[in-house]
Amino acid sequence: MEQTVDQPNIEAIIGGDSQEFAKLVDKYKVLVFTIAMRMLKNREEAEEVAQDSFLKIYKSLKKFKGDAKLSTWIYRIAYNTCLDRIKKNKKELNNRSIDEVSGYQVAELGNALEEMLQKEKSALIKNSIQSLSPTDAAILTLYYFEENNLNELAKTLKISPNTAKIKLYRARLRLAEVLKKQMEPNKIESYE
Amino acid sequence: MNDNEHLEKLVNELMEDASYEKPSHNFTDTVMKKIEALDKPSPIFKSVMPKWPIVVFVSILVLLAAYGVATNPSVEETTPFYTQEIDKVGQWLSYLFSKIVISKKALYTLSMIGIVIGLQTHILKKYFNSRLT
Repeated sequence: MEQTVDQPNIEAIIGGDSQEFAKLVDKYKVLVFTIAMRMLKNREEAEEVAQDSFLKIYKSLKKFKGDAKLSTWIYRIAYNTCLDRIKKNKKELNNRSIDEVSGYQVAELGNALEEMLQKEKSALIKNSIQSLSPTDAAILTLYYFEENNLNELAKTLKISPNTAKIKLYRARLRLAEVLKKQMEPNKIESYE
Repeated sequence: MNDNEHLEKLVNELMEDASYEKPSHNFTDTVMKKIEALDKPSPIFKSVMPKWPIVVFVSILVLLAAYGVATNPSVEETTPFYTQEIDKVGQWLSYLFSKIVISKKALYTLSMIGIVIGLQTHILKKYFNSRLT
């Protein structure tokens, strides 16, 4: 999860050191681009929005007070920039209704996934995340970027930790449902 | 393990296996170019001609017009005093170029253009002198 690039010096960036900002871009570009890609589902658009996010980060870095983690602050800007683009494009933001996925089915899915080849598994996971709504994809992505920290997720989304917990639970359910649909029943059985 | 825990475990595993998306190889360079463009001050329009000659010129015109109106209530019937001088110039020009007929309108227009060019040439000369020396 952690990147190996040195921590950028915020004071130096504010002072006009562009090399330091390049360090910051290098450190967070993959994460910001992943959020954009999972929310917008389009490579060109995600690239453009990720670049716009960094421009916004550069412009408002002076306002960063340090009351949240730098990463949380960056993800929040990226998330909001993606939301703005989705609203501008009038893309569907709403989540679909959740069909019940029983504990047995979840266990079944887990077993089937274990047996799959890594390459096949990666493609399936990628497709499943792509099938989620932008908000569900963002919630799951941000939660795992924030090292499973519910409070940081809540700060990024500017919601209460309890609301974040409920939203995360629903996003998990929807991911499992999408996964169940992606893996045809006979395919699940063949891995059992 | 309850259903919730099963689900959490499954999604944890899935998300850990989910690969990150990689942006284009020149992503950082593109962002930095955009930032450089952002930092560059945008060119500010500055007229070659300072404001004061324009103000003086317009003020003279306004004063002349006001004087003409004030001294000759029937503006439409009479001609302002300065037109007499222009008439003289016109007569002189007519004498010189007796075959060429110059209307008053054309004469006024030419005079105005002449004044403007005269002013601008002088100011441009000063501007280029200050820039090139």
